[in-house]
Parts: sequence; structure tokens; C-alpha cells
Amino acid sequence: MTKFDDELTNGRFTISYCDKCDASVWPPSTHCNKCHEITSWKQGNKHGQIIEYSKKENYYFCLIQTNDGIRILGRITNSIEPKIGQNVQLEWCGFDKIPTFLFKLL
Amino acid sequence: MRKVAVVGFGSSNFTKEEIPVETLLLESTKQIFDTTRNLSQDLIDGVIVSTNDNSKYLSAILSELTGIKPKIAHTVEHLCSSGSNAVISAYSYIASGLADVILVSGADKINNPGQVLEWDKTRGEFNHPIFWGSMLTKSHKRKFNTSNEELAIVSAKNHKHAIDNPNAYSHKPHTISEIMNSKSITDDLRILDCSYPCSGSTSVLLASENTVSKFSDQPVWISGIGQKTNSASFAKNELTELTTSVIASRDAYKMAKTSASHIDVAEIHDAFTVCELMAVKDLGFSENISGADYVRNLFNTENRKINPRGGLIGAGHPLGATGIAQIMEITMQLQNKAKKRQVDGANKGLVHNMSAAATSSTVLILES
Repeated sequence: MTKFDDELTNGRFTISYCDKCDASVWPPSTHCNKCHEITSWKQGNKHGQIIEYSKKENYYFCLIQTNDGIRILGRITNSIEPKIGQNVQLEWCGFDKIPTFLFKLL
Repeated sequence: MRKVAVVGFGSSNFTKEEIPVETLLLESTKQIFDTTRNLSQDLIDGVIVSTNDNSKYLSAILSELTGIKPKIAHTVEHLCSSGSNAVISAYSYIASGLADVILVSGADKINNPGQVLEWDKTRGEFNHPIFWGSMLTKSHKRKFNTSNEELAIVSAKNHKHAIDNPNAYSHKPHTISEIMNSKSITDDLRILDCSYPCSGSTSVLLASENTVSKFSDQPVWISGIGQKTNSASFAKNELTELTTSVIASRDAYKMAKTSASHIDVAEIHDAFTVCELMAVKDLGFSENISGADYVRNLFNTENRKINPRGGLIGAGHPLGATGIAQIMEITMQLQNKAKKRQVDGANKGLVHNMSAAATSSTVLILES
């Protein structure tokens, strides 16, 4: 388990951050992929926008860019069709072998 | 650098049966011994295995099973493009003078672990390839007004081509209507839009320019190589362009001193139907028309230039074997040995092999 997985298991969306580069490091890593300094961990921004989406069975799944500038695939908890660029908020996250990210439409 | 050619090939059938990877590797390798003149174990300097299987030490195992005692023996894993990358490793050994003759054998079982990249947390719970396939398809529809019918034409064409490929896992034709009405996987993918994992193995024999004549009168030369990896995680990808394929093809054309307009036949990585529509554009084939119009024209005129063996959708996708099967097909085409699949007068061919939603691409140019 990585720090990211541990935090996610406890419902906390935590991302790695490079203080030297003043930038998020994504996917999560112990070292910055630009300067290779050790990263710190901070709470990820729970707000973002929909980049693309599709639907499986009765739920929508989306590529979302959060306000930290990172992209993630998540599930939409609303049953209405999302729009490109629509604002979303991370409602719940967890980790059980794989990560789960649930977003609600705003 | 020394010139390097493909001088032999062999393939198992691609099947949904669960077959041990060692058995698969042996089957396609045996065909090379059966069909390549003057080949004996002592002439092989290297054995490189391409696979996503969790079994260890497979190149040494294959060597022992076939009585080869190579100088060079190791495995190459790079998800879906393991095969083409293994061939490029063999090319490099030979071109540099470290080896003269190398056997490259690729295989995977139907249930292989290469379909899901667990490390990629950016995919969240949506770690199966159908989810990135859906994102690419939806974005292509949005940007190019691509219809489900245009996607289905790719599958109809490639399933039709696969009928004449004796190694393909599917020999069933599908109409456009059948494909459009096949089981819905997501709102943007039908089951017949998807390539399917299967068990299979393909091997090729590579030789240096000073040894080719011993094995073949029809060597097929590797004249261009391009490779690019932008990331491992899906979420950083462009959704409407195969960026790594654009770069890899540019480098391969440059090395071969050629361009898309001079390519007679190509094997394209159609993991999903949308991938072929994107690739024919991003590799430079469709020029001033859309990828969909280009593929529709091929289909309507029964032109087999793109994916004559049926692509991944028609032939099946045993990950570690796929890139090598593509190279085998282009070799057969350039040797005029492709029988019903033959593209008349093919002298120059291209292989396009990708991994993990085009986060990595490999392009090879082959010439007779």
C-alpha cells in the first residue's frame, strides 16, 4: 500500500505535491517527476470539471480534471446526463484493491 | 549499423482455449524450424520472448525446449506492444554486431495479466480497457461527428479479412447492422467494436545482412523504426489524437526515407474500432479525408491495404504475440505469400503497435 492508497482507504483524497516545483505530482509518487525531490502530501482539491464521459448500464463515468490540474476517471452519482465542462465535486473516495472516486454534478 | 531482415516466421492458431504459454511458444517456434532452410539450433545467437505472462525465465525455457543454447536470452514486456518492442531489441543486437541470428517468440494466454495496469490509479475503478476505449470513441464522435455505422465499418472490414487468415480466432463475417446492434458494453462501445484477448503465439527469425542468404531468398528488411512513450497512466492522454503514434511514425518514415503515401500495406493496432479511424489519420494514410471516409472507401472497394490479416478485432489479441503477428503478416505480404489476403504488388509495409491507450507506440517500416 502506498501513502495514496492508505489515505484513500480512510476516505481521504490525498495527492503528492512538489514544494520545490510548486506543482502537483500525478499519478501519486514519492518523488517529483520533474526535479526528483521528495514530495509532500496534501489534500486534493475536490472540485473539477468534466473533460469527457460515457455511460455503462445506468451510471455515467467521466474523465475529470480537478482544480489541482490532475485528471482522473470517476463515477457520477447523479443519474442525469453530464455536460462537457460541467463542474463536479468529489463526494466520496475509497480504496479496496482499486481506487473508487464518486463525483456529484454541480 | 548492419541491415537486419526477417527471414522466417511461424504462428499458432489464435484461440479462446486456455493453453500453457510454454506450449504456445514452442508451437510457433517449431514452425520456424520446419519452414526455414538451413536453420539449426547452433546458428541462433539469441532467443527473446515477448509476453505479459507471469511465468518466469521463458526465453531460457523456450531455448531448452528447442535445443538452443543462445548467447542472448531474455523476456520483453511492454503490454500490448511487447511483440514489436521485442523485435526491435533483436534488431538492435543484430545491427550492432552483437548477434547475427535471433529468434523472437511472442505468446500470451487468453487470461493474461496484461489487460489491466494496476499501477495506474488515474483510472480509478475503471481500469479495464473498455473505459479508455469509450472515452476515445466518445471524443472522436464529438470532434469528427463519427457515427456508430462508421465505427462498425472498421469491424465489418476486419472480420471479413480475418476469414482468409487461417490463424485468426474469428472466421465469422459480421454485417454492419449486426455490429451496430451487437451487445452494448457502454453507450459508446458495442462488443463487436472491441478486440478480444485470446491464446496465441507468433515467432519471427531475424538475421544480419551477411547471413540472410543462408536462410531466405526473400528477406524482408526492417528499414524504419519509431518508438515513443509519453506516460503509463491513461489520464494524461490526448483523447482525439494518438500522439505517440504520430511521433513514432514520423521517426520511422524518416529513418526509412519514405512517407505514408509510399506504404502499400499496413497492420494497424485496432484495439477498438475507433483506434483504426484515429490511426489511419495519425499515421498519414487518410491525407485530406477523414479516417472514417478512408476506411469506408477501403471497405466498399474491398481494398485490403489496412489490416489484411483482420487486425486485432478479427484475428484476436494475444498481447505478447500481436506485434509479431503484425510483422509476420507484412512479411508474408512483401514476399507475395499472403494467398487470398495478398495486396497486389506490395513492396513496402508498415506495422503500428500500441500499448495502454496509446500511451506508448511503436511503428516499423518493412521493405522487400
